[in-house]
Amino acid sequence: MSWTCEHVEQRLSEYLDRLLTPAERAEFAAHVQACPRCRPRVEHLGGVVSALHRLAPLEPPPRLVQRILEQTSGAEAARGWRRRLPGWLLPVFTPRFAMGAVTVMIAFLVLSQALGISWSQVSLADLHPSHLYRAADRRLNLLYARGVKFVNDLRVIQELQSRLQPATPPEGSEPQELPPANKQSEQPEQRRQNHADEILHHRMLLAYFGLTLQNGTGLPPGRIRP
Amino acid sequence: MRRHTRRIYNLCYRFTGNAHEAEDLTQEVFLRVYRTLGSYRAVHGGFTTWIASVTRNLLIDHYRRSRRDRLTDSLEEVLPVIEQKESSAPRPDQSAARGELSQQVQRALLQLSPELREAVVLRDLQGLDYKEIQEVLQVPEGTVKSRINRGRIELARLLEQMGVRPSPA
Repeated sequence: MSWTCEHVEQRLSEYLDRLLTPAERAEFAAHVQACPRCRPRVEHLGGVVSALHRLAPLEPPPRLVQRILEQTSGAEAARGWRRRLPGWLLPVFTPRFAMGAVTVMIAFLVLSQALGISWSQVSLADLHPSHLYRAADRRLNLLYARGVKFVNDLRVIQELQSRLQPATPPEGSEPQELPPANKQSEQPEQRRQNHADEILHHRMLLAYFGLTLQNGTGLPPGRIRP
Repeated sequence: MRRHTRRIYNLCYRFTGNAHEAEDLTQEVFLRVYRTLGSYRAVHGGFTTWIASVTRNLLIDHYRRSRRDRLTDSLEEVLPVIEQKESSAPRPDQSAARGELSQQVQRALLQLSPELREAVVLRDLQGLDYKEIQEVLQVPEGTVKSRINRGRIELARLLEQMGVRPSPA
């Protein structure tokens, strides 16, 4: 089989790179010798390829080598002590892990405070689940009892205040305007009365909480009357 | 180190045609090689071939990235920025390439498609054989032969258009 121009063009590089078998090479050469179209093309391509091979490599700028050395040795120094660690331990030294660890520690401290654990008196036996359960249970009960007491105290104070309120005038009655002369004469008397009432209120409150005044005029809670 | 730097820099420069980009890419290749040295297995081919693979992958990433940037730029019609970029980048004939032929080859290379360009650069400027190029490009042998041949023919045609007719040695 004699080669066509298309064959030659397809195998041109293989011919130049000496990858054709001797038989193929002979066919190739025979066609090129005889073909006025292929011959100059093969010569031109041969010239181009050998010129490419002769091209001197470009010299990289000296600063490039320096930059690469700095970069790789800098990275080496930065990783220095980490490189000696096993691979699975490397993620431990990341900001994310540190943040997580700190959060867990804070949560643990808050929880231990809520459970009433004193770290100075802690012993191994305290870590037993039953002990932890009892401590938590006691803490919760105390908290509940305090809440109940607080609500009860509020109720008592409310009761006291409602009883000590001065009697409100009956609805529908108009407040009567006193004559000016009368008003002036009654003002000091009213003020004294108010002051006495105030003292009485204070004494009653103190008496309710189990306190007695020095002069012995405190009233026991059962006898509080407005 | 210096020998590999030269090889990588040449590959990057011949592919991108820009000295600044070639420098940055060479640096990036070294960092990547440094970080992935543990994954290198001698059975998969020579060290030079492996480095060429790393470089080639980076070049392809870079090519895709810069092509996307060019498309975005043209869409946004930021012509002054492009002009500024081109004028600020050192021209190959000023800093890197030495000699008239080297510049002409570079201009012609940049007109080839990336597939043909990388095949010709790896074969004729980096001196890799067909088998090594097959490993670097991860394509069948027939594709490698075809790309090298088409790339060379196209390059020869472009050089002829420029009036370059190198004589065979």
